[in-house]
Amino acid sequence: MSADFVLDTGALVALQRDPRRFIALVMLAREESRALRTSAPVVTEFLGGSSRRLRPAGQYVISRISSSDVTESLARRAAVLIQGAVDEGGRARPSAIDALVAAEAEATDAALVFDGDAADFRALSRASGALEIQELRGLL
Amino acid sequence: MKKRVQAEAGYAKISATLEAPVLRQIRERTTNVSGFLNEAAKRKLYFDMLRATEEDLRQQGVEPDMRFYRNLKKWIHEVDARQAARMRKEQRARSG
Repeated sequence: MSADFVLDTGALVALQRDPRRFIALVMLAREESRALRTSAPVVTEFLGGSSRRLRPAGQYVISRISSSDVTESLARRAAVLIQGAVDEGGRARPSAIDALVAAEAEATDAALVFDGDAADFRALSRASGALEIQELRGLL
Repeated sequence: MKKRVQAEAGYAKISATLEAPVLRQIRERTTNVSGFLNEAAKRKLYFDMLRATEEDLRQQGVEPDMRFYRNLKKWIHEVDARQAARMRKEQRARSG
């Protein structure tokens, strides 16, 4: 089995800023038939947060990423993941969008590449029990 | 025995020759075969688009960050191995 890549907003921002990393990801995805995916709310956060100067690069990147709609069951699962992360009692406070992208990756056995608050994503991964995560900067 | 299956989705046409047991397994795992093939056709279109993206970026003079590529590849293969091991464990637990 080969896992697809699911990307959070931070990872998309990092790829938008560095075409050498973006082409490396595209190359690997194509060679190994792994889709590049995200959750629909990430599209809003990513494009909405793009500076005017970076918008064309943002449109270029996002048009190569397949985005999945949020169903009610996925939204409920994301809520459970947040509860699990917060109930650990640490400093993790994952956002709804972080949790939705984590739930999307979990539901499809995909691997989540993020570039944000590592404590939040680690807590989401522990709450899931099966979610594979990797911080983008850990791959540089 | 091999069987040939073909499907059209939009402008994309795909065809594949599959061993009968594989085809049977696909049929068992999907609610209908045409749904599966439409999905496969969409995936083929998607990877064609990624190929075009890579060519487009290379024509613009962008070279891949090979260190990032190697690290990403190593990690995703480790993920595949862990997921396969988890599936085997689940199957063993189910079968007894």
